[in-house]
Amino acid sequence: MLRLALSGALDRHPRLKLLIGHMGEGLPAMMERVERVFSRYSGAYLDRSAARAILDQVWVSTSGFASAPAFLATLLTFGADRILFSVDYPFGDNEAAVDFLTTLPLSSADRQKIAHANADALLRLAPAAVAT
Amino acid sequence: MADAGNGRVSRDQSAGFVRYWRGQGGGDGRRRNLRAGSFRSGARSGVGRRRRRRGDGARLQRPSGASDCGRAGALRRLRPPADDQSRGGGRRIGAGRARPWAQRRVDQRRDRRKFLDQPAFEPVLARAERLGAPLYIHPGVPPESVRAAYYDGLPGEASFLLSIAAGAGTPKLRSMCCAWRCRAHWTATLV
Repeated sequence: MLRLALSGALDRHPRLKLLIGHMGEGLPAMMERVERVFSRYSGAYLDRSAARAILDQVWVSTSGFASAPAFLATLLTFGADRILFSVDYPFGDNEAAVDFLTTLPLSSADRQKIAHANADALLRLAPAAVAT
Repeated sequence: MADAGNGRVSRDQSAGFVRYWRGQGGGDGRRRNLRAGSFRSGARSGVGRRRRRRGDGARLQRPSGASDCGRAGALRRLRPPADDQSRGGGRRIGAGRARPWAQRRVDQRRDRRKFLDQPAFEPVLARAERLGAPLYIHPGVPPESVRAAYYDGLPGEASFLLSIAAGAGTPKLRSMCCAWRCRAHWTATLV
């Protein structure tokens, strides 16, 4: 992901949407450092800082993570509009993932976004297709 | 969403999923089905069928189980010619009984030595952007050189597991160093 940002690939394709799994692959916790280390390049050969480009173009799926610290880092970094619930079959426990989603201390609106609304918009799904 | 597939998870895990995934026996030999995305393609959840019924981009909505069609096939066909020429000349990984998919796995390893930001993949990014289709990016098994430098020397399966699941412990390494493979978005795991 950082390569895509630092190489200018995201600047060349500013409407490209990327989806990464595993609660952001560690990026949420590293984003501040990414901004600090690489912000010098924005304006030089990048239109945006690497962190800005990632926040503009990347969505994150939970991929079976049932970890409050990891989720909070993702929520605080990417926001509730960019998180998609998913399981991590066959590596993760699907029921634990569902339990985690349903017990998160979120507003109903944000839970709906993460559960399906963000996926509806990003993947252009019909609402009926996920209302199971 | 009540069962959420946990029956299959526990069955795979009890069969020794690591061996199953690596193709060293164990499991029920369904790895090709897994890779083809039978669970993820939407064929079971009905997502693909519903999308097809809507007639919205219908020719792109075939189940990903059909390996070389639809959007994923279009992306694969955009791969640089060098990759096609490499097919059939790769080195077998591991030893033991014949595994039809082993050769393909070698080719995929060659692909993984490239990065998605390299010029050869510009058409892939451009097409995905034009389609408005998100690319789902997932880390794969690192090339031999990366594995040797970063992960070798641990007991048991630890080296292998760390190399494919290092995100938890070494996010920087995983984000910065490991090669990425991409899939069309509709093979993503969504419930």
